Amino acid sequence: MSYPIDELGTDVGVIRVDGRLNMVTASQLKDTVADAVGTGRLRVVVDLTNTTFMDSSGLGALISGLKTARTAGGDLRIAGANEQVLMVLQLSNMDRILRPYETPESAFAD
Amino acid sequence: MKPPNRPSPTDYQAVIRSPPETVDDAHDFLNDVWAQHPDVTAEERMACETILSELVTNVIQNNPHREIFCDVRVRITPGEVVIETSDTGDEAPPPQPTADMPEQQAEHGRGLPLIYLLADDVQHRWQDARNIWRVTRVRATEPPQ
Repeated sequence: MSYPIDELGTDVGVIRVDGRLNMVTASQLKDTVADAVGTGRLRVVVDLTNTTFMDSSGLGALISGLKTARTAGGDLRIAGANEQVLMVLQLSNMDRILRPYETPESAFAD
Repeated sequence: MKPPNRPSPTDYQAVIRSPPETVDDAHDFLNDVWAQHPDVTAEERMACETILSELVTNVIQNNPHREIFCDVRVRITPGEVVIETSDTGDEAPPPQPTADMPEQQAEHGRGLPLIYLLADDVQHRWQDARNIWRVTRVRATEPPQ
């Protein structure tokens, strides 16, 4: 099972994660990022606007996805993180690697 | 999962049986607890939910090929929230108290450091063939009037 991939512009794939990002859904996210990159969407945004919770398993899936995208010459960015997700990113010092953007549209605007 | 047993207004318990239950059942249990405790702040809820998710995830991941029972207990007082888990899994190695994160590319190994960063006290013991974790989060105190 995987999350749907929406298109943004010509080569950005947006993966919307609803609900919890934990050990139950981590592999689902990893598979979806691999699908996106494998079908040419090398720039991936994980839209966390409707993500209610993330723990270290979810963070591990984001890091896995980031490596998958970068290995293919692309990148993975995150958008719409709530306070709990930001807390986990900051405590783990990963907010510098996975910089949180406000919206999917702004993630690759630079 | 059985409905939460509530022996007192501040003491909540549930049993997670995995499989088929998952860490999601621990989240659902905690949501039931918070529904009865509007006094627990959003920050305290975030911390406690993250701690409990990491504890239960570790139990399930450390016992991938067997059924485990994980008793979860949450006690709330004006001064602290205490989260206890007691599981029937293999004996966990004594945890190394560390808040140090693994290297940035690592996809695993952040759960225990997160617990230590979010908790004010972490205890683990092996007793009666169970791993027992007791994690305490001190609550924010009201500013003096």
